[in-house]
Amino acid sequence: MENLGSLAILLALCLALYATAACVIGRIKNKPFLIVSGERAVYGLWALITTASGILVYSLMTSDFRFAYVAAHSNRTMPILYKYAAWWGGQEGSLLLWSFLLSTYTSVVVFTNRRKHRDMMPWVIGVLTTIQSFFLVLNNFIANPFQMLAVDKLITAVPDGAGLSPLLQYPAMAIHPPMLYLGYVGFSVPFAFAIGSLITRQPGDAWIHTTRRWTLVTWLFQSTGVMLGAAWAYHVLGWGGYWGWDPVENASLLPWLSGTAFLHSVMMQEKKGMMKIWNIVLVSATFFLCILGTLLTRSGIVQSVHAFARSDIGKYFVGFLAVGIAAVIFLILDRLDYLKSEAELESVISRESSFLFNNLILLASCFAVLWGTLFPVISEAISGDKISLDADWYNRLMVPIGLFLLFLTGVGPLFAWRRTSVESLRRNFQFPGIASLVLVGALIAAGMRHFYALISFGFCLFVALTILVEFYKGAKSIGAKNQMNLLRATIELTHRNTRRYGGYLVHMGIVLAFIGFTGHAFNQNEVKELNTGDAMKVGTYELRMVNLAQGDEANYSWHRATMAVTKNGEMLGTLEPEKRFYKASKQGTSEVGIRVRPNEDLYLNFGGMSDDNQRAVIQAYVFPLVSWIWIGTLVVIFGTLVCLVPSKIKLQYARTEVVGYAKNNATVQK
Amino acid sequence: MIIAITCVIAIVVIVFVLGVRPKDLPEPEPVSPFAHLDERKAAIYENLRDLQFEYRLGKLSDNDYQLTKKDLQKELAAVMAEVDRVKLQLQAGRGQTPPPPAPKLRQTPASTVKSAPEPDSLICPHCDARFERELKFCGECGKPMKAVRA
Amino acid sequence: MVLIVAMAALAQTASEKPSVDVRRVGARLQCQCGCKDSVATCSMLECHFSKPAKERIAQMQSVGMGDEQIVQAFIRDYGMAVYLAPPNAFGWIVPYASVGFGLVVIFMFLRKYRKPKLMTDLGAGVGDMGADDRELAKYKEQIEKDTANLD
Repeated sequence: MENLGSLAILLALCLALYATAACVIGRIKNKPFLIVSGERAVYGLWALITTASGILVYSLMTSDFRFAYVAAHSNRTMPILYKYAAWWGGQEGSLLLWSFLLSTYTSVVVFTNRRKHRDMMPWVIGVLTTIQSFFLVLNNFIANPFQMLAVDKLITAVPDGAGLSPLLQYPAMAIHPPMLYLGYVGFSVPFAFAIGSLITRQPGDAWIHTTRRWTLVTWLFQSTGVMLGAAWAYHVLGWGGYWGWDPVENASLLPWLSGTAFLHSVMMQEKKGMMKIWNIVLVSATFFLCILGTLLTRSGIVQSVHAFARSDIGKYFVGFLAVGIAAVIFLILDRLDYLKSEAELESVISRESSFLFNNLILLASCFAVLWGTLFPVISEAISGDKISLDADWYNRLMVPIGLFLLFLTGVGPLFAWRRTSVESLRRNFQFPGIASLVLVGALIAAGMRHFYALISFGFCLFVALTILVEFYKGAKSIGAKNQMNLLRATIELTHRNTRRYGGYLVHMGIVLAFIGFTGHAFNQNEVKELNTGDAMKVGTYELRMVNLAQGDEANYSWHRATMAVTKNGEMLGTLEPEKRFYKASKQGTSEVGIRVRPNEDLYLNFGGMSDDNQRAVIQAYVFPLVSWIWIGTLVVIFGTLVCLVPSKIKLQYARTEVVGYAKNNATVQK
Repeated sequence: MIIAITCVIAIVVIVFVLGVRPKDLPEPEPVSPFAHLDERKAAIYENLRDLQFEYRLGKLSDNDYQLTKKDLQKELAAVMAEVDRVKLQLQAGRGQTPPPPAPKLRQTPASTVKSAPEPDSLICPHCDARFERELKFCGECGKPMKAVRA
Repeated sequence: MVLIVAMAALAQTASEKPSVDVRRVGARLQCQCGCKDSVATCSMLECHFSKPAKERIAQMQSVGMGDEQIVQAFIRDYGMAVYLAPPNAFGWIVPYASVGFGLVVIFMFLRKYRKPKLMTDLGAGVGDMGADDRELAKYKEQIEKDTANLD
């Protein structure tokens, strides 16, 4: 078993190197056989890595504790789901997951393009297999998941494993890392196509059309992954928040931000043939940020100074990043002429400019987060001072940037492409602008004094209205023309241009999420040590502890408090926050009790037992509006799915036809 | 035992990767030299359609609409001129005078590759030329039309 | 440490709900529990380092010690490793400078790629017949026909 696993990844490395060489040489020397053989190698690669992953998962499932990895990340009493999730619970396994996902993606790319883009594909495959080779080197020589436990060259098993980190024993955790990885790995594909197109100097924007769906799907995975992470932090970590600007959280946010910028700026190239260099830069930056994200998550460089010694995987990543970035910069500089912009700007007041600002803000926030993540490391290296950048620092920096971005979300669609006269602008701004000013005035009158919250609510209404007006006007026009009711007309409208209206839906989701973020300004919390019968107050809620119990399970032991919740004398039910102590890993976790309502969540955390072990430490929080973050996320996912539906196009116009050339492939993917 | 399995796997992999037979070579999809120009044209037409729609919704002033429409039409004309230029070049390259290219209205398929509406017998398997009726020999390259497509 | 036990009543509240003052000083001290946070932001409940540390800060403040004195006291006990410098100007300037830099880039971009005003504001094609216009005239019919089919 273990030998087969090792063999599979070793052979896979050979195949990856072979595929790179075969495709590139085959392309340069014009040898189709070599290229096809390289493509075969990609499929073989996938089969081998799948086998290796299967062996690892099988040994996890069967608790084969001769494997060092299984012994370190699993134990006998773990539920079967978490035994499976242990695949990505540790360094070796998660890097294998990276390889597996990348090889899967590569195979899909090779298969779907087996007859298309023949001059570009070899380079695309070359880039992808180069990345694959790097990860396979790590799999083989740095973090081999098939290392065995041995005493004097005799393979032995330990009686039971150390168990998966209890923080990861949570249902969302079974899908959160693969989601993020699907996102991280997925950006390799648009990156590879961009590089392939750059190397072969493809005319037109074939790489963008081919990878548009990839990018969207990848972005969807990333968004879901990031938000699952936030949900996990909220429900499991028990520090009463969904986002703490932890380096690992930041690592997942970075490529999401630059990927979002890419999704927007690519429209400039599709519509007008501008920003070609910039798009290549963005897609490369996103890819490298994905690699950096993996590096930050896996090496622990930023968490503490000891991490460097503990895991030496960082330097390989840094090396890969350095070589990759240098290569991309060289390529871009070498082919500047090919990337020349085809068009000019007609007017400064136009959709184009709004995209420029959108890109600036997204990238600035990306850079700010990156800076905040790396600054402590840089500063310590330069001046020797350790520096603390706490959540406050990020919030102070990111809140204004985020609000400006929200504002642009609303403003952007109001500008027309190419030029917008002041008159049109006034017409489009009037209604939403006045409505949101009225809202802000009403909120001030109602006694709200939080500056950012006021601005945020105002912008939220503004953006929501602009989006609704877009839908309403469009639907009304279509409805009038085709005698449809408003609902049918809205669906028809969306179906006619799924990208645009799906995009608006995504914006709507962002607005809803911002409503949830703004609730943060009104959080309340209380901490008390309680015994059975004691009471406490948080916000308008009264909490009384009616029971304090403890018990023992196979995997963990627990303390549980039963809290009766009343509000203005009215009984609302009970919540049961719980503290667990996992035996195998000797770590504690919290199972929080949450009362979810659209206006606010009541969130109870069992902090632990007091020093004398008589009373329970209960942390009670009121989080206004937090549910809207999750609702917004669902809307974002729905909107992205709408974008993926092909538009129902009725474009009819002459296509170029020349005898001698079939034209059936000369269609633009919509 | 392990050694045997190892050998078998290695051999299977090597045979699979290196055993490319001529008939395994994929037949590349024909690439039109106009692909990128058609793409561009489609993009401009889409822009025009969006522009019209937004104008109808009242999002644009009359002046903006007229100016932008004109710009787009100019761009379209430039692309069409480029298409004609490439066509001329191709004709010169072949030293023949093919029938005049008749622009024809076509629906843009929503997905990537829809099979062409014409049956295969109307398309030359060698040079992909297209004819209105069945021919024994291709009018373009002179090769037999009935050849089997791999 | 003896003092802390003596002041347990005061300390209890300090660790449960650190005041603004305690947080301010706590942010200058690295938590030693293995997290990368400061004493003020360590999210671990019942943390063996940050909890007593917060209590100690509150207790020191109650006897009138200044921020610097408290930090010095911690450094004396735990060594330089415990000290966290405040985010210096550099940490603040760079992100904002990047925004400013980006604005300059956009400005330059707009200047470079902006079409000369003359051509765009000519109106409905009166004036000079450029090459564009002649081409346009040539393909006008085709375009009109195609445009009619849009929608």
